[in-house]
Amino acid sequence: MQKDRWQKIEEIFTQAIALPQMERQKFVENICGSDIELCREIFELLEADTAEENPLDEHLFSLGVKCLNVDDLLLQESEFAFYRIKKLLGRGGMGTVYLAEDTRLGRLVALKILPASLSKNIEAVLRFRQEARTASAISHPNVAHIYEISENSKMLFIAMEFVEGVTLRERLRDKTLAAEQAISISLQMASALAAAHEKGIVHRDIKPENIIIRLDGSAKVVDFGIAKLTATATSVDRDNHTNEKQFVPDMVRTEPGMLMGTASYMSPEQVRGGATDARTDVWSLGVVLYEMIAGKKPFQGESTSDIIASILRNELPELPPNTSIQLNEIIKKALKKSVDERYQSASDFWHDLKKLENQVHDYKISVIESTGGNPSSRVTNENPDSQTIDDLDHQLSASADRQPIDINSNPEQRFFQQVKIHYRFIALSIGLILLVVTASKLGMFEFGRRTERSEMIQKMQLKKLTGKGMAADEITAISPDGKYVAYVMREGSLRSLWLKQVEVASSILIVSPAEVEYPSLNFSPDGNYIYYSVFFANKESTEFYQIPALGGVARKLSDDVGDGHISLSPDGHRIAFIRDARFLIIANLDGNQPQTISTVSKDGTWIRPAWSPDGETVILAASSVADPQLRLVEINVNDGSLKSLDSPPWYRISGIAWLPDKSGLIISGRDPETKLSQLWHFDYPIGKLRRITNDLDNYKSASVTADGKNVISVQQERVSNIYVIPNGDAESARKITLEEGTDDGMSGIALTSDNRVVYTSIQNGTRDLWIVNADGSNNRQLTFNLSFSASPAVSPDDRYVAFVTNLSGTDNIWRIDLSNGSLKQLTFGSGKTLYPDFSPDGRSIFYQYIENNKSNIWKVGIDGDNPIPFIEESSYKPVLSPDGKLIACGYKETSDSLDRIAVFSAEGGRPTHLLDFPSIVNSMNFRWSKDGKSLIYIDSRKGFYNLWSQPLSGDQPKQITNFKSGQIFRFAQTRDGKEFVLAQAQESSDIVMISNFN
Amino acid sequence: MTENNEITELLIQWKNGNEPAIELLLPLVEKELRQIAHRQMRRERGDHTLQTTALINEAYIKLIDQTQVQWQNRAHFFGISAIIMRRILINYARDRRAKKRAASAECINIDEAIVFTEEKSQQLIDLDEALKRLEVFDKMKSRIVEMRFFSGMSIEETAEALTIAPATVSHHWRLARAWLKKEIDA
Repeated sequence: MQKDRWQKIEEIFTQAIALPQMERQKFVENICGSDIELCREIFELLEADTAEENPLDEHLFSLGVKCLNVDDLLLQESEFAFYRIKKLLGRGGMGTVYLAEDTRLGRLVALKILPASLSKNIEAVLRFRQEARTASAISHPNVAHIYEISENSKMLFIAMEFVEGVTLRERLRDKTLAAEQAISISLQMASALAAAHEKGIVHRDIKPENIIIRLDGSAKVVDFGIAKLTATATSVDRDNHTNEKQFVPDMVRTEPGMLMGTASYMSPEQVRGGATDARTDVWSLGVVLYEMIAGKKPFQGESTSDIIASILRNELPELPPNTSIQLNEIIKKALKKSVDERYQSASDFWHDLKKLENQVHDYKISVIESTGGNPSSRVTNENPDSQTIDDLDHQLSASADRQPIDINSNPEQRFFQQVKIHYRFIALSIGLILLVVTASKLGMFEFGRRTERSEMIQKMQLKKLTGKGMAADEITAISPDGKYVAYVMREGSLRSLWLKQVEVASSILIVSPAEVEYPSLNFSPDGNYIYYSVFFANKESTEFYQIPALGGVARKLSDDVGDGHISLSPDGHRIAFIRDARFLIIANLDGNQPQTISTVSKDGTWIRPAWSPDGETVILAASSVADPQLRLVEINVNDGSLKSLDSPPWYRISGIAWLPDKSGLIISGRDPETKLSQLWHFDYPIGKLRRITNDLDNYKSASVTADGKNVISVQQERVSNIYVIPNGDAESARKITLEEGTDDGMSGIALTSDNRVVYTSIQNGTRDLWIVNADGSNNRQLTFNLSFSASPAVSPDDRYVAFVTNLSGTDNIWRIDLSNGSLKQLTFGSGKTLYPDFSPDGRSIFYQYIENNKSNIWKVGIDGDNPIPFIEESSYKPVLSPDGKLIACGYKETSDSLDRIAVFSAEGGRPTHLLDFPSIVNSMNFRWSKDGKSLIYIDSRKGFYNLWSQPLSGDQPKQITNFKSGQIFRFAQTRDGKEFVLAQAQESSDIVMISNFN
Repeated sequence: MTENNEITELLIQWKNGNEPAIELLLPLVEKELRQIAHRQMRRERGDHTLQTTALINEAYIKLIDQTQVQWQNRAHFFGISAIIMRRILINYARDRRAKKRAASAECINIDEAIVFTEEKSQQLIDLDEALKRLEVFDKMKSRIVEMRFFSGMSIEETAEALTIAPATVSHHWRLARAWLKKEIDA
């Protein structure tokens, strides 16, 4: 509506309502004259005005207030610059932090909006931007990355890596940290600072609020380069009427809330307002380390000025008496008031901390070596000074058994407890735990109980035992004492068997790489042997071996142990396994005296037996033709009787492990809902299920320690991204998408003629189409909330993208107009439609259609006109040659014939070539080469996924790319043929130990 | 008060015509409103006499640094609260229409659920759309509707918040009310 017209309406309406009802009509008609439209409008308004019911007469406020009480009902998301603000993360003196989504890249960021007062001083802002830009160049695992510093509507903001976790402040609030954790965090911080200092960046505001601890225990420092802004902005503001010396107290007065906390971490030179450099950060980190160890800040005071006075004058208060001499020295050196006596760099600081940590590790290794295979030695000597560490460990466990003083068998903690004890006896340190032990020996149990209670109530911990992404296979086992872990490494199709001490970084190779598979790994109950089953690619049966855990010669025990999933009896003398998926066999360790305990009917299958700790029953996973999902079944070993356990169905089970007290099972299983393999606790025998892990990774295999407190598993993470590969050279692959876990391109990739990449992604929650430039710029969403969009194809004129979506209820082909985003459904089949491909003249689309168990190629006009079957016989996945004359597709001439690749003329008729290229048939993912003389496809021979080219002439296929890792899902080739674009997933897997899962 | 300085600053910026500032303000104010509402609900269990002005006032006093702002800012703050209430209700209506939630939806008890039927949800969404159109050519009226309808403020409260005469509010309200009724019935 035009504003002047609205004014006119308002004028007439106001006058009309002032009149008695009877006179209004005449008045309006008069005043509107020939403008009938105006007249009608006002009549309508008058009518609405007097209507009996008007929804606006209700007040929705109390309803609104109640809605305020519903937490999941969020505000419509706000937009700020290119960011969609999702929620408020926190507020502080340095600005407000929001969780936001970068709409260009679809990734989550922490968006920090700086207080406007800081943005006012242009000079300060320029300097800040300069420094922040430098800070954004810091690439370090312990530094939250700065993505962008910019301004929107004069508001200065920083987009930072979103780090999920709790701040060190929050962590310290709950409890003090163990020395080893404090050292670990400090090491990470020192390393981060060293990297920043190298680039000339000083943080200036290191404090627990700026350190974020993630779930895995790693730490990240945030807010690099930001402190400078507050300092400069404030000091510049006051330059006119005050001097530098007054700087800090003045700032304190200005913004007390902000500085009260910070002042405690300021270095003496900082509070004096003097020059600051890297050594200032060393000081602040020293304060943080002190606080982590002592549980309080070293320099305290009622007010900021008291704190400052304390920083300048007071001696460093003594650390708790159980702090080792080295750690004491390190902290003292970091907190020297004179900058010249302090650590001169973060890396010096780091080195000393690392030395301390290493001594601890070395020490541990020597203990293990010296006590080696004799873990059962008992405490006989009452003189503590001559006790071995292992003895003490046992003593600790023993007292733990007697008393509710939980010494907690988390190996990491035990390890450090041992070290603390060691320190005590070599007069370096007195550990808290030792005090507890001493106390308990003296009968002071209450003391011990109180001290340890808080330690007992702990959250589940997940600890990685291997470095990130070392490509472990899906099987692992932990020794009963929790000290050793056996696992399988994978490289291409080669697998090797390794042993690792839980507390030591390195691993030992037990069985060299070979083209085999290891279906199962077990430790003997005394932990001295590892039993493994192995399946050789060139043999039919699975063999069973025994090898000493600490190295030695492997001995074959049996030639044939069924499918190789072996479960040991509790006494370790017998084995249970499944043969032919139907027979539960129990045999001696050497495979002798096999006994069929129970058999499942012909249309059923059994897998993964797990022998109960009392030896009475075996649990296994069963499925049948009628019920293909897996369910748990319990078989009595003595009489073979069978009982179904009450459990929900599983898609897949990759590990079943009993808890030692038979109270439950740990299951590594994929449930039908999440379709992720997670660890579950199954409450035996009631069957109550509880999920232990809860994330988007997969957890394969499960193995539990003899005390039932730790479980290990293989954590797998798969990240799919789009890569551009020039000339097939893996080395120069460029990643152009950034998102993790969004399955980029996994359901299809296509290129426009100017090499923009259209790909599928779940960046926004649903699987939609996205488009990005080949250099990674200008990433944007093409389709919105179309469920399961897949298989995009770009028309030769770049106008349309044809793709498959089930928006209409079944999978059909739709097209989107790239110029205006309009959508059009092209096919309307009730079956399933797949793999559209444009004819090079752009007039028609070929596709695969499946209905009533029949699949064949169809053709439809570009506007959805005239869909007709193109090939009658069973055929799939049509691909048009570059000149448009030929169509290659999967083809099965009769139901008895093998799948082959057929080449048809685009005019139709009989196949011109029938090609026997099994690897292409298997790949189901092929395209024509640009010269139209061969087909390019994905091959995973030797376990490495690469692009290969198969000439139609029948010559030997040629390898195009040279990848040694990653899995290629989809690919496309630029129209000049020079570059390939791949959807490639990098899989990383690690052995993880989970504690306190109960 | 440091944190509040910032909210105050944003509020002033918004008042001075910096539109995007509101996007940053909304989550901050929303959080406070929620906290106060939570508290009020606990305190006044079973009693539905929640006072509009009281609630927003409480948030205002908590969030805004009184020493820094002229008293007119209170009006703007009320405006922001009204926008939040509008968004929350519309979102709820959308959500309800989408999920066809049962009458026992968390935030509504049975008698109020009658008010918030599916039909009602649709009506609210239509109203929101119409209000968006009104905003284009008459911002004042749309803000009055926001305050009166979505935020339940009386004529007097609205007048005070907008620093205009109560009669002026009545005048705007009457036409806006009629126009919106006409629009959603159309």
